[in-house]
Amino acid sequence: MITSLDELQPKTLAALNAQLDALTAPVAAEDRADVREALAAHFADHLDASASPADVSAVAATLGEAEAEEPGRFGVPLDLTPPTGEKMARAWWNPRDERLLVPRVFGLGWTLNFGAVAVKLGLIEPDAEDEPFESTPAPAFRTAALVPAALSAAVVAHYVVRGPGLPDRLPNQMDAAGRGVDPIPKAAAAALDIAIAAVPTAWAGGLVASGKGGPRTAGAIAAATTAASISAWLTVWRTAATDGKARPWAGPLVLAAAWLPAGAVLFGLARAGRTAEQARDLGGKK
Amino acid sequence: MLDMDKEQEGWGSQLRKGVVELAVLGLLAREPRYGSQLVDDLADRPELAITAGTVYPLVARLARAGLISSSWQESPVGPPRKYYALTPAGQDALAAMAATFANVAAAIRTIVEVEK
Repeated sequence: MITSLDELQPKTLAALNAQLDALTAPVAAEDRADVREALAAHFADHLDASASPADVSAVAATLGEAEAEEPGRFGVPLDLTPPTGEKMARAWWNPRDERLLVPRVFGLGWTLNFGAVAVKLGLIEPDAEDEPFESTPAPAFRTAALVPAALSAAVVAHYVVRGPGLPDRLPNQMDAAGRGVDPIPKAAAAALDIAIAAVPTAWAGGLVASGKGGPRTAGAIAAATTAASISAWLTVWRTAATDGKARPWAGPLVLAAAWLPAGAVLFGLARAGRTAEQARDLGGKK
Repeated sequence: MLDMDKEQEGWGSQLRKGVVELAVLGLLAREPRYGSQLVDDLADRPELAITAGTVYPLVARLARAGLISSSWQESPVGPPRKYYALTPAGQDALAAMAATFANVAAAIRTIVEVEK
């Protein structure tokens, strides 16, 4: 035990300050100084003047994580950390979390937790997998990756087959009544739709082809499926909207429908993981 | 001015948060249980106010920490179920936590009784 942190050796003091910074980082700004002071006192109680940086780590390991301040604006969650496949999978498929709406993977607001939806619909148990997608076998990932690949292929096929018969300019925006406005050259529209579908699909396909599984690949496939289905709907809408008719339902429908295939893909991957766990534990008895 | 009811509710909630692991480990020490069985057994103790939303993430955390294990087992009355059981590390943790809880409760009781 020491009475002042100044009694520590310089290296140990530096390690302690780094620990205190890390431990208090998630704490609300107004409480941070108080929490830091309390933690410093705790360390002083458990360290002596000859303590090493390793001793600091050992004491830190006995502390729980500080309760994080939920970042956000006016009660709306905000996440500005880069979105990754793993992060997407954990947000979109978390059956152990009862909340249907969870903080978005990136930005301000909420997103749908398909895992909670599936549990509420009685389609899967909250704990069907020990860790979502960790037991999902490679063939299931390969099959799931076919969904965005098929949607991407449909977008390409649409422009190849129907493209020559389409007007030279296609709408690029939707007004409040769901009418197509802001026309752009057909080639630009085609390139945009194909890129929206193909780029994330290639990313997910690359992960699957390299034999990677787990939540990272599940999230990548789900993201690619969402992007590819948005692209497919966009392609259909662009073509239909050349007639200039109002379709007020088009925007909301596209947004809602674009998410469903991703939910179905995540559900399929989770079921495959559940089946693999059961086969592991029950063997031939299943 | 402090809203005493709110303060009391917050304190109770913190206290329950602190003992929920002990409650789950304690139940699993008696016999392995499946998820919804754990939820129901805890729901029988309304003073703990532990719901499925707490139990499922908690068992995942305890399993990651190696304190419990999980495995699918056939059920005589329906589909297979995932059962949770204490590991040797979980038994040690339970013993240590139960001892700490007893010590804290005993110490608090002496203070509260003295101040009554």
